[in-house]
Amino acid sequence: MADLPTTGGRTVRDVYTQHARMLYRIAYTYMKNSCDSEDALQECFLRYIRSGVSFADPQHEKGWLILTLTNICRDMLRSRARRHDSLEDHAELTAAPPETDRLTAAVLALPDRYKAPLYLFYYEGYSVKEIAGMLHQPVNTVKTRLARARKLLKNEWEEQFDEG
Amino acid sequence: MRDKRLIDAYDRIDLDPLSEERILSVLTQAQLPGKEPTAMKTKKVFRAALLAAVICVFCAATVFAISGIIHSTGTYPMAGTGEYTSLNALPEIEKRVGYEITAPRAFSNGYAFGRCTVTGEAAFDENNEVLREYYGVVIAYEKPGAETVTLNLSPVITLPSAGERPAPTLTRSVDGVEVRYSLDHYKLVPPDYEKTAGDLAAEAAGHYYISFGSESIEEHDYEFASFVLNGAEYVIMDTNADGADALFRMAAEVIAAGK
Repeated sequence: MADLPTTGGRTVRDVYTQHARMLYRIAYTYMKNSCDSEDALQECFLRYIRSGVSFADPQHEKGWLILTLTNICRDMLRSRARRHDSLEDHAELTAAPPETDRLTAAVLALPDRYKAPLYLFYYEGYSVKEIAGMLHQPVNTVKTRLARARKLLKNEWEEQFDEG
Repeated sequence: MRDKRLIDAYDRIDLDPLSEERILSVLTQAQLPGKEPTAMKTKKVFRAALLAAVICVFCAATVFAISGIIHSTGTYPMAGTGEYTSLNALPEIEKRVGYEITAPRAFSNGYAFGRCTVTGEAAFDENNEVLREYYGVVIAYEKPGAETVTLNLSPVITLPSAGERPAPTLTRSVDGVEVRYSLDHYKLVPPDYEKTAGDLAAEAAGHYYISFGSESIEEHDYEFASFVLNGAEYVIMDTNADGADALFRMAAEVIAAGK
């Protein structure tokens, strides 16, 4: 495939290659199935292309993508709720990723507000301050959400460690 | 905190390479100068992006005919899209999409059910604002040695319209239902392709379409048979050069099953 055209000095392919996996994982924690997560990811980059927004630095760009993606996921979930959809009614659509363990399932089951901070902190290795900047949230809010997420996961963690 | 476990948990969530290709193809088209919003989107049809783009073009045209200020149609992120591997799921799918689906387990010419995909779609106005979201259904039929034939469904949209439907190659009445058959030529081209004088002349003559986003130039003939049945628009798409009579017979089998 030919390189995607340039937007703001970088090709969209560059930006996609750099962030797609991260964004997909965040989307998956919201949507809990691959089809909807792919749709959310695609829509996020379509909005990126259409927006024409310029970014002060790569961190700003990354934060914009994460915020846009989480908004898309929330809209999709609201749309799902409006239709009174129940994913449990559609087992074929909600297959968990292969080799899903109880910890992955517990992460997916966390309330939505904890998902992006948890992922950025533990998987991407960002500091609380950096996450606060990316998600446009106060530092204390990020700290609180991480603490609550840890508490919710604690039982699952401990069980896994006991087994391990 | 033992982060390794959490990292492993996230590592199990990964993007399928074929899905990435499809998404990149859509993004490529989205950046082409002068492209309409519909061209930014492709249907997710068994992860075959180029084939999907062709279906999208055809289905968009069929919606034009029925509607009014709809400017374009395309995929739209919606909850509950995905694949089913059994026709036993049809009642569940009908409940989700909101319209009746008639789908034979097999056609008399040997094509048999393979799988079914529920897609999220929308009709857009000229400002790319969503006029209506709806579910599409794509049912794949397979036969050894042949390319997959798809039966594509969408609800009949009654919104006002701004476009005209391309004239079919042939029209026949089948059991009281008008079936429109078209034989169209598609040229799949890279994003930076520039139309030749021959392309422009062929487009003007009709039944010739250019779809941007492929790695190299490919040309294919596609046959379509479309009809409306029980509130849904059906489009049979075939790339095997089975011919008009074969597609009319397949349409007749769907219509007979749905009446």
